[in-house]
Amino acid sequence: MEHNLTQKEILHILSLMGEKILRCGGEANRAEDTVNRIGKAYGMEQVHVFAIASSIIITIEDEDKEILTQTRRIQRTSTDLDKLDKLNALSREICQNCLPYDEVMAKIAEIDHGKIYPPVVKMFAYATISGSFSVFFGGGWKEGIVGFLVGAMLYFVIRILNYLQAPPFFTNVGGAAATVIFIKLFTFLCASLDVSAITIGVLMNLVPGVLLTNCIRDFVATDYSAGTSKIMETLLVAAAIALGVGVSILWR
Amino acid sequence: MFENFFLPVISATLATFGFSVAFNIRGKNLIIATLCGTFSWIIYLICDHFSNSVMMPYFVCGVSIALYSEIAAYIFRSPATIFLMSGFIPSVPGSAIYRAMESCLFGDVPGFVEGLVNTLKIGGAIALGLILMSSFFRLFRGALQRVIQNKKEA
Repeated sequence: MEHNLTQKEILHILSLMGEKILRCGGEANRAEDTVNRIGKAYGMEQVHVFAIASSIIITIEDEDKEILTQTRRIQRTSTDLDKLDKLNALSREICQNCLPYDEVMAKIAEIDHGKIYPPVVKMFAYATISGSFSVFFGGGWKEGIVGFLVGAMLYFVIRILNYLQAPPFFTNVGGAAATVIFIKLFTFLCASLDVSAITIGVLMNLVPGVLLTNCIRDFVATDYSAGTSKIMETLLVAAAIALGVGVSILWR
Repeated sequence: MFENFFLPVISATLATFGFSVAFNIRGKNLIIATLCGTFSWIIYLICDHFSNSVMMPYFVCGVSIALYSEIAAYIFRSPATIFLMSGFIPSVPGSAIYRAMESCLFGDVPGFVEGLVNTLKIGGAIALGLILMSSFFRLFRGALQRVIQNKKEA
């Protein structure tokens, strides 16, 4: 396919796409695969990518054996699956039509400014998760309502901790501890609550679903180094939640 | 019937919907991802009804989640991860983990070990189901691609 991009521009597109996919919650293998495909579509002789959750390394080689390489460190990630979907669609489009450089940059900028749900909607999402899981794990309608309210409060706690740029470990400890304390306050109002159902229900919010899924997907794709680091992170999150709950259950 | 079937299915659906919103899924993907949770939990409840095993229903549940996500990804041209991430949330063994942690805190060692083993059993069963089906689809896609490439070259 014909295009008039320089090798530098191609590398820039590749590293941007790889970085964005890792940032919005895509698995390492998806980033590698996407970069590979786009590089090949632009007529690179060789494309070598290595990605883990926190870094991506890309090396491309054209027909004249000219080699360029770039490393990007991926810092904080925030899950945005809508962005992932759009990036996936964009990479398909690039592979089919070999879009010019400016057009790709414009499209990436457009995806960057995609819509996200406002905080109120996210708060209701947290509340819905907590309320329905409280019922799911054996609570009645009373537990559902309390779960709903505590879930909304948990959202504020997590938002404040994120605003203060707390480390993820501390966010999980704080979130879990706050949950148990809020539930204890509700038991003063109504003594016959099934505390464990509500606690499980609200804490489901903190389950690292993205990490677990990506870890499994990376193992399927034989990306063991990326998968193992995610397992460790998951275990750390689990330990953090246990610590948070433990501290506040034992405190009376 | 209501307590044992409809209530869990409805609450699993709502919870999956909540997670889909928290993950910022929009448009038609939101509905597809939510239905993934519903579908997998219906499969789980049916298997649980006809089986005495703890792991088997979760394994089938894992297989069904991966199957649903990969087929949906193929039809709607979206990454399968989107549907997997929110779809497997209802099958996370939350109560087993909680029991393990609670017994650990109050020094109940047999309870702790039992909860831990249960967690590992359930988690392992789901993960194996997901891995089996995802690997199968990888194989299938790779074979399809090779067939297309051979035709192009011929």
